[in-house]
Amino acid sequence: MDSTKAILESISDGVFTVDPQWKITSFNRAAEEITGVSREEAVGRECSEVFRSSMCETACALRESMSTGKQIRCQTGYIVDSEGERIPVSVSTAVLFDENGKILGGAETFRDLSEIESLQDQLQDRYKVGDLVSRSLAMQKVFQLIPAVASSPTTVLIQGETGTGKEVLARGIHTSGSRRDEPFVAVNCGALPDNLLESELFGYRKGAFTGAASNREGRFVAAGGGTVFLDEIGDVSSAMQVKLLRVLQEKTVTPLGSNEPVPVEARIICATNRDLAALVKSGEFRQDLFYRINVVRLDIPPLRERPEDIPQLLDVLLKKHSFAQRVDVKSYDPQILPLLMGYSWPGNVRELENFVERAIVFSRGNLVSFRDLPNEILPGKGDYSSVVGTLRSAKADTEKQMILQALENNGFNRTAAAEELGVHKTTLYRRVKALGIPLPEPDGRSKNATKGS
Amino acid sequence: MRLAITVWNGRIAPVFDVAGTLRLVEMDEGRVTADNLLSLPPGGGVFSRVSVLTGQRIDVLVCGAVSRPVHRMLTDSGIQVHSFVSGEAKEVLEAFLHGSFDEKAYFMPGCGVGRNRQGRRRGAGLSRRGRNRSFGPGWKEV
Repeated sequence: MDSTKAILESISDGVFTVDPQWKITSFNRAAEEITGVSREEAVGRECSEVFRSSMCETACALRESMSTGKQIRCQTGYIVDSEGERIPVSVSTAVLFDENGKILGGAETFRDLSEIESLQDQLQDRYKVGDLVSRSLAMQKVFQLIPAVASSPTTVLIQGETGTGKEVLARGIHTSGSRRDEPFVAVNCGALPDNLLESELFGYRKGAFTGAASNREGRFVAAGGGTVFLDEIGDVSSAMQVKLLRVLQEKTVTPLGSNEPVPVEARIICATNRDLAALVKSGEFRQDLFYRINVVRLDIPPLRERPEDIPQLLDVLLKKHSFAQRVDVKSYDPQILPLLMGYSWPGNVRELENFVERAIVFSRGNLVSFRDLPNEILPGKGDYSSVVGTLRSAKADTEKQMILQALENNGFNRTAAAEELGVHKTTLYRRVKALGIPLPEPDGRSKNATKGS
Repeated sequence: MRLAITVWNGRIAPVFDVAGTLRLVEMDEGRVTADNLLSLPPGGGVFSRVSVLTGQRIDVLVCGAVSRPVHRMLTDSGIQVHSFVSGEAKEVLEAFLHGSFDEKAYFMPGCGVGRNRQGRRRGAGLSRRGRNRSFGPGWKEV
């Protein structure tokens, strides 16, 4: 084997060459691995039938190189391997000449980008818990707590306005922990009257009441070692609060018509769109129950306080609903983004999702555009209580949070914080002053300032 | 029977997911009763691509490589799929007309060994390098 061949065999990029009739003349080891086609099968066959790339028909880099004589570098697309898997690749091509300058054929090198894409996906996962996606700093703080929360059996309280995704977050906690293979049982406590809620949660024995023809286990028991999600916990009656407190304290439930307590192994996650602390103050919610469920509290900010999440949410929801409705709506007109980001979204992510679903049904192209916007979002008709103010204050809030975070990360050392933020320290100082960010005394310039928060 | 073949330069198009042209042939007792060319929507729009075929009430599709989710959508739509087929489109059509189409004779390179399900054949036992095998929402290995 000559040295050129040895080099070609040792590299991790796929390389093949073709003759002027597009028949493969050589195929290296990496090309075999990436495509799943052996050299013996590849050589002599049409390159498009071996390489099977998304570029073959309309954007073949090799064809362009052969017709223009120019090299093409890093054109991206995908190939479909023999198992039907799409493999993202980047290709580079060049023309091969003999010593007399006559075209011998072409050479194509290609790189498997799967690992890079997988790393990009992992990076995206930083902004994701279950189906909940967010890049806002407030949500990032919540996301950072999830691994620890998910792996502990602690009771969790999720607070957030309606439609912010409390149940989605609860499911995210459930699926991130060791209970993921056990049931996730959601109960809306606000939707049921007391007696029905009691039989639903605790179960009953045959003959406990008229119509109780057989034994039935309650949701706490049905959840097994999984999770019980009690939504709208702030809306349960005082009598029910006492019963729930007992479950949390004793870790048992007593079905209606029975004296035998049944152990509860499920983890309990509660959620409410009301301010429980305020309800405790006003005497509407039991303080002891509040302390029992308020062990770990996660607050989901409303969508209007994190408009920076709207573009990403739109992408995710468009993908989800175009797949569900089997249509090709791929994107949205960037011109509608300021309107969507300026709108107050009183129904939060649920309202945004409804908008996307509706837009996909009515869109006439593969783009959600201005004409797909419902009346309430159109300018002059929607709830734009100070659109400019909202956007401006959102921008200022985000900037403030980022600066504070960087300062905290660097023990309030301004030079290090400025470096982390990618700005000059005088710019940082100006923004700190303009945004009224309080700095501690002594600040990070003192010698004993510690790094990290 | 309504047969569709993705064509490119007179041959079966290499990748169904991005193929531009469909040859649509209607056959009745071994005779061609209609033969037309149809353009498929450009780009990677899978749903509209599959809906063209269902809209044309295609019974059988002969095509080149096809990614798994798309293959599943096609078969879920009731279309019989002969995928990873290569060669002259005319020759494949003739074989179909005469009832002598032998898929094995037209397999694309690397697709003929150890078939494990319709339209999917493992390669020649070549190793793969730690690829993340996910096939999008809803895909389940058969």
